[in-house]
Amino acid sequence: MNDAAHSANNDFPTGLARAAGGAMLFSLPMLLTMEMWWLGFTMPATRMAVLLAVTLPTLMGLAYYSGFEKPQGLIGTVVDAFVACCVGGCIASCVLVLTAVVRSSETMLSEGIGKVVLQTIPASFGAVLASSELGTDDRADSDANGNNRTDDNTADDKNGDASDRNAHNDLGCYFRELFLMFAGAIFLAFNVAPTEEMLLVALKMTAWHAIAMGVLSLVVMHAFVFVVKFRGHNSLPDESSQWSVFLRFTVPGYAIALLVSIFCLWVFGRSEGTAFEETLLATTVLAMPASVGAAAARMIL
Amino acid sequence: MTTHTNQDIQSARDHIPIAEWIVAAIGGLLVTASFGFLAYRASSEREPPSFDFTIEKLVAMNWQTAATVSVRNHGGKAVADLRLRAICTQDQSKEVVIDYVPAKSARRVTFVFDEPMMDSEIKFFVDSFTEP
Repeated sequence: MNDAAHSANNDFPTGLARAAGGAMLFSLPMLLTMEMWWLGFTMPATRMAVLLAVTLPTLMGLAYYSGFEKPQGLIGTVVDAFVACCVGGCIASCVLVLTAVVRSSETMLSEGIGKVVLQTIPASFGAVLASSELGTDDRADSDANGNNRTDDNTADDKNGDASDRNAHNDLGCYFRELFLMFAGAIFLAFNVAPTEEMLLVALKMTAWHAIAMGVLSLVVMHAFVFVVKFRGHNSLPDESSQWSVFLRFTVPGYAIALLVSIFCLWVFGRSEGTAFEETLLATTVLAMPASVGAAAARMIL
Repeated sequence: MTTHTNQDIQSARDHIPIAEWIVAAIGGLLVTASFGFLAYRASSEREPPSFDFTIEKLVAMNWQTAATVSVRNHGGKAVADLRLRAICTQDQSKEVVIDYVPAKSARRVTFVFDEPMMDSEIKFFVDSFTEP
């Protein structure tokens, strides 16, 4: 067995352990949320299927950019995503059984499966993000040694303005940023969309509140990435391109947050029987956490 | 230390792919449309709540009957804790409380009457509601 294969075999259990830790960290709040248990048996199967059809490719994309193992091509990425699903499913099942939410004596098989499948989604996100959140800097080291995966954080630190200009002008990097914003938005929106509070807050608000919230979301998104200088923040290419960056990154990012929010509200049945304008208010409410998730994902990943 | 001339900066700006601007335009359109619609809603008059009721389904359940009713709020304001009463001609009265009904939206409730009443007329009364 060569050194690379030996190292990969040694890394896998560590990667799995990190994935389990990430799954636990990211999904525990949802595993202990009552609305999520109910959705496990009230959500129509078609919506569950649509949700899986959207989240599985997202997981694969995240596995590519931030998987818990070093990148191993397309097949490796797909395998990583399914391993993350498996880890997420195991963690979700264990917690639901331990908390007696799923009981073999009382819970119907379809109900139990529904609950576990729904909770597997955030747990899988946690599993796939484990490396970037809980791992060491191995990935950055491996990238510096010739890996073709881009890492803006490392490049930003090492190459300063030159890499910034590249990240802001390269089309591949641009769509990567949009994808990361989508993934961050869907993760955070998924966390709060099942709760009844989203619609309730929208009912209490006037349309002016919603507009103010939308403007605030845009400002927060832009400030998160470009102004307050968190770890992994992106520098502006130059002072005069503030508006250009705002229009090309922040505005599409917020549009993605809006689309993700309306999708989550539909999937969780929060828009059922509700007029479009009321749904739009709820969408604006949900887009607030979604846009923070989108901005954070650009820095974390 | 890295320095860039104005020419470098201009050159970098010129190389922004057109696809980025297309995506930016679509995003801008979506965001502007959302804000525009919200502004229109904010400036338009909101009518008070008003309700209508549609019996969607009557299902016999042994010696009882379940009547599924759609409650639609035609008004421009949402209501909470909507207390509804359904009375059928056999003098049976049943109550239900709906957590909230958003403006121009509908919610579905089911009343269970004690006797078979497939041909009976059902009348609905709103007893009370609050603002959300």
